Amino acid sequence: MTPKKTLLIYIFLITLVAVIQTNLLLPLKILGGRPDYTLLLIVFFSHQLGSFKGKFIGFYSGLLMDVLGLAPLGFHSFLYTVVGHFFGKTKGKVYIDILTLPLLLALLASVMKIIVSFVLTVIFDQSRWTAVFSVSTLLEVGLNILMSPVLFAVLKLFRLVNEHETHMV
Amino acid sequence: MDGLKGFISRKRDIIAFIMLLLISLIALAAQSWSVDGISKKYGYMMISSIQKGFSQAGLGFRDAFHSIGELREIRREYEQLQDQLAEYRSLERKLVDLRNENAQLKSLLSFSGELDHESIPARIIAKEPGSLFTGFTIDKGSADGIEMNSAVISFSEGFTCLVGKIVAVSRRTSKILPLTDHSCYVAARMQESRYEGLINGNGNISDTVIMEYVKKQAKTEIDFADLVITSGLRSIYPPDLYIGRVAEIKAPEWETSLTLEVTPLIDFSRLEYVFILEKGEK
Repeated sequence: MTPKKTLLIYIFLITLVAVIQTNLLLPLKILGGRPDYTLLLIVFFSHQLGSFKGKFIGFYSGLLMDVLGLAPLGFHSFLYTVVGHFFGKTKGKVYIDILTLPLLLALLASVMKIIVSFVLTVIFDQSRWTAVFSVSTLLEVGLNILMSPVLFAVLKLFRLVNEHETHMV
Repeated sequence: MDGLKGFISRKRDIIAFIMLLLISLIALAAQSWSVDGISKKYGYMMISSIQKGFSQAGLGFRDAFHSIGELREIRREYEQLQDQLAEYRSLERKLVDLRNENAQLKSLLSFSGELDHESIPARIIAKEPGSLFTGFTIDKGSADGIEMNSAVISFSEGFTCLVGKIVAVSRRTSKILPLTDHSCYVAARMQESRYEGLINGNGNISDTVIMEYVKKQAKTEIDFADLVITSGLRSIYPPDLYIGRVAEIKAPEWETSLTLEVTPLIDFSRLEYVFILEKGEK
């Protein structure tokens, strides 16, 4: 598949997930919480596409989340741009295996989300920073980690990924 | 010139990164957490119809799935119904009586009819997925007469309860800021003792909202499970809408006022239908 087609499919998938995350996926609660599927997709796609495209995918999906939800415009776009940029740096440096790497990447991405959210709330709205470290946030981190091997395995099944592009360091 | 081009070409990754972050920060700073920024408003108008489409598609799938099970059930029931037909004939008379009784009860209760305002019923089609922000999207928009800052209510335990307010309106959908959100403030008072205060949301992190600035002298007159209602003072919310019950009373020595933890009468996690109050009384 050409890189352009792959990018378009990734954009379509991320739009689909961002939209259904706000309605169809809401009843799918795991242990009373929900994972951030969009974050996991950005991590995976950035790893596949590299830092340059990764940050644009992050920015686009963040913008979508801001528009769909009540978060101020710029909040998620900033957050996911950072995630897309840094996780894009892993392209060609690490190989996403079945278990270890998905777990590690999901943990790092979730921690990054907490840190960036904390910084943004401290700067723009101090009343929310306590929510950044709430029990539901910790639950979300756990669920992100738990869901990452499953989600990454499903994404690999689509065979959009050229396995030769990635290799172990 | 070539030097500049070369520099941009070499550093395009970091330049793009900084540019995207700057755009995000400028958007953030420009609206400073306001939910009705112009760019967001138009973006929302475009995306909301897709969101509504998915919600309806989901309902369609669910209905189709249920229909298969229902068909099997109906077939089994059909045979039973043949036998029960005679029994149902006698029940029919009772049903007429029940219908009359139901109509009477409805007219007695008729919550929305008792309201001082006209109301528009709506279904919640989407919710904020994360824990940092709380908000709902409903299936009614400006085409249905929804206006910005309209109060949103629902009925629970026989009470007419406040849900929140409308903060964004597109043609077919609208967004609700629930009273549990950090940025939602509601002028409130105790139903019994009439002491006033200000309700502020606690986000998703707790099942309660906070009532602040209640006079300290009210401590002896406020008890657990006392009802809290809207005061209607200089507010977009009409008076006497129920908010919740007092769950905890905090009276630190160094504070000049009381802080109450209030458990909303509405279970926001299970809320499906709401009513949007039209501006102006009936």
